[in-house]
Amino acid sequence: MPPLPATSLYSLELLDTLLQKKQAEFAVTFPEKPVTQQINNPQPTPEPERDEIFAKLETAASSLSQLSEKELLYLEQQVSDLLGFEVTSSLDDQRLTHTFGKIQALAEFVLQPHQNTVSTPAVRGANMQATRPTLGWAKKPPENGEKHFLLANHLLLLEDWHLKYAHYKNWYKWRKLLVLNPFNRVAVIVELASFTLPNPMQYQFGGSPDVIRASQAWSPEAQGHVCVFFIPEEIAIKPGLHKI
Amino acid sequence: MNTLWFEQYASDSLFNSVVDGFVEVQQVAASQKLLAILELAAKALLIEETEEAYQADVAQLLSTGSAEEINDWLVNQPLSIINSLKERLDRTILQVQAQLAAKGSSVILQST
Repeated sequence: MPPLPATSLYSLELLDTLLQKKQAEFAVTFPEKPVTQQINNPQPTPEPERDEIFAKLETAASSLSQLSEKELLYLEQQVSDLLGFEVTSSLDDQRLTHTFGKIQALAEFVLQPHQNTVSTPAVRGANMQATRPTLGWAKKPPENGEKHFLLANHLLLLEDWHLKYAHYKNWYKWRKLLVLNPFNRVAVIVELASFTLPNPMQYQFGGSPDVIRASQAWSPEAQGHVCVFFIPEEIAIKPGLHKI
Repeated sequence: MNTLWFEQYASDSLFNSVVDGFVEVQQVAASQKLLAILELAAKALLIEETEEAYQADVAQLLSTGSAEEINDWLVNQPLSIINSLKERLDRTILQVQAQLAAKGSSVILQST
């Protein structure tokens, strides 16, 4: 071991100054960013308030109405509070053609080139579509028995679709959405898989068999009427049934 | 004493050569300050090397995660990142030493 110096070769104050300088540089280069938003445990909403929110959603869904910006914003906020995570009808200034509408029960989406009913045992009593979804194949091969919560919206009806379809296809592909059936009080997290519907004048949305079953969208009360909201990217939530 | 997560990637001999430049009573404080500088350098490199979409999550892990959690994450990173981390830490020690030495020599020059 080298002999210890009687006096310091280096200055502790200077080292302290260097540290402060590095800390300041670090704070400027890497300002604190919000981390992936987690789902908060929602504060229980009082029963009369819940009834009121669902009544509003039922009215909007069954009348296929276009609410005013302010009313919609207020409703989104109430639904977000109810669920414990943010939902919105417009994300990055992009919207679906409708927020409230009727959902059509579609045949199972074909997510992989060689998918068939044998490799998809979850398809019970449902047919498979003849072609791939219009937004493309799945991100990853689906696991055996995995449920497919997929939604279609006729985005061709968007005003500027014909101008920006290439950009829109990328933006809308596999966006996470919330399908809410206010009549049976069921919420399902789904992904947008297709931008065409076989019957866009009669239906505003189309759902894969798993979505239709899970959301109870075609129960006698709901009659296919649902509300659909965007879920922001940073919210870590998997497709499937969400308890409310 | 618990080992900090980035210590194993810095060269012990370089680190000691800086700390040994301080008198004994100052050595603990000096090594703490030097470790703080190295921690900032290590964090900066790992955040830079991460894809932008995940930078906030990595920054959160490096700030609040335990040494064990960070090491578990680090062992799954590509070898090139680990090599860059070692290089960055050693270069930081050398830079600090050079700055300390430059200041020390100017003080000696002024006093003569």
